[in-house]
Amino acid sequence: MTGTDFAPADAIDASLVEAARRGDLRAWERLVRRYQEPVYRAAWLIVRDSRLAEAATLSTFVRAFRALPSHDPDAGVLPWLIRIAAGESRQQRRESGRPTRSSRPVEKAQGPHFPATAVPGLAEATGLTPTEQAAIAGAFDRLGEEDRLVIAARYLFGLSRDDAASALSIASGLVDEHLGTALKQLRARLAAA
Amino acid sequence: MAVERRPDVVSAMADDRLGAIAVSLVVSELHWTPDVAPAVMDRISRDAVAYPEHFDRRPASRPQYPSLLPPTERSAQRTLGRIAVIAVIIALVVALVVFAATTSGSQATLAAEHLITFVTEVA
Repeated sequence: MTGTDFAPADAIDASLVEAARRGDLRAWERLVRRYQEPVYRAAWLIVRDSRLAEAATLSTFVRAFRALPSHDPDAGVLPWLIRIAAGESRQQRRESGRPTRSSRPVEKAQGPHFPATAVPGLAEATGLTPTEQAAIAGAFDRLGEEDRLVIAARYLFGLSRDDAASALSIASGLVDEHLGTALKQLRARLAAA
Repeated sequence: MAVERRPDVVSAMADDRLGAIAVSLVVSELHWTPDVAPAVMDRISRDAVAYPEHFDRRPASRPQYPSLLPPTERSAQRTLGRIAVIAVIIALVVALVVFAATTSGSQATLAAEHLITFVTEVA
């Protein structure tokens, strides 16, 4: 699955959202299956805990279903879901009492699950040594939550500037500025490592 | 032994490339994705039972996903109760009208007062 799979004007999304809005739960189930992986990844980038991310993903789709009547049909589904997921993830983290930026090893799947699809951009890392890869990943890990999210919005989910703004609940004109700051922070942490 | 970290290689990367690689490396730690669809649909279907009025605004929901929206016993009992109350009130009103039409004015007034008191107590 690549970032371009989530084009905002996706006709399939629009028809599924419209059907779900009319009460077709099968359409909503299809949307859940279509987007649960990117939503889970977004949640995990915030909470850094697989259990909390799973709980946040679940509540994201329940909350989004309830919010369908107010969803703008012209807006992209993924940015909308990521915006909800960010709020749910923060809520999960608050309730768990976990600190903001401590990572926890990814736990083994216990409930229903499926293998993760390939991560876009990973192929570019193959030319790097394991030490370099670890240094880059570690630097990313030490970024603030907003910095991680804006980088993911643009480079992992492939969102346009407007969709990234929608996902991050910021003005469209601020996306590039936030992204620039996040990348600068990434370089700073990499240099300090 | 080869030098494992080459500062120039990383620092020479374009911002876009560095950002894409960084987030990809971190997310690649996730080897599986939980399938939350069954739990989501279960939660939503329970909401449909607990808050049927929310789903009443969704006319297509029941025919297209009937198994998730079964009629509840509680709502059926509530409907039967309403029908019974309405039937009793109608019967009392009819009885009052018939009685008034067949008796004198003072008797009818007295009977009406008794009936109104009775209906008020029942309600």
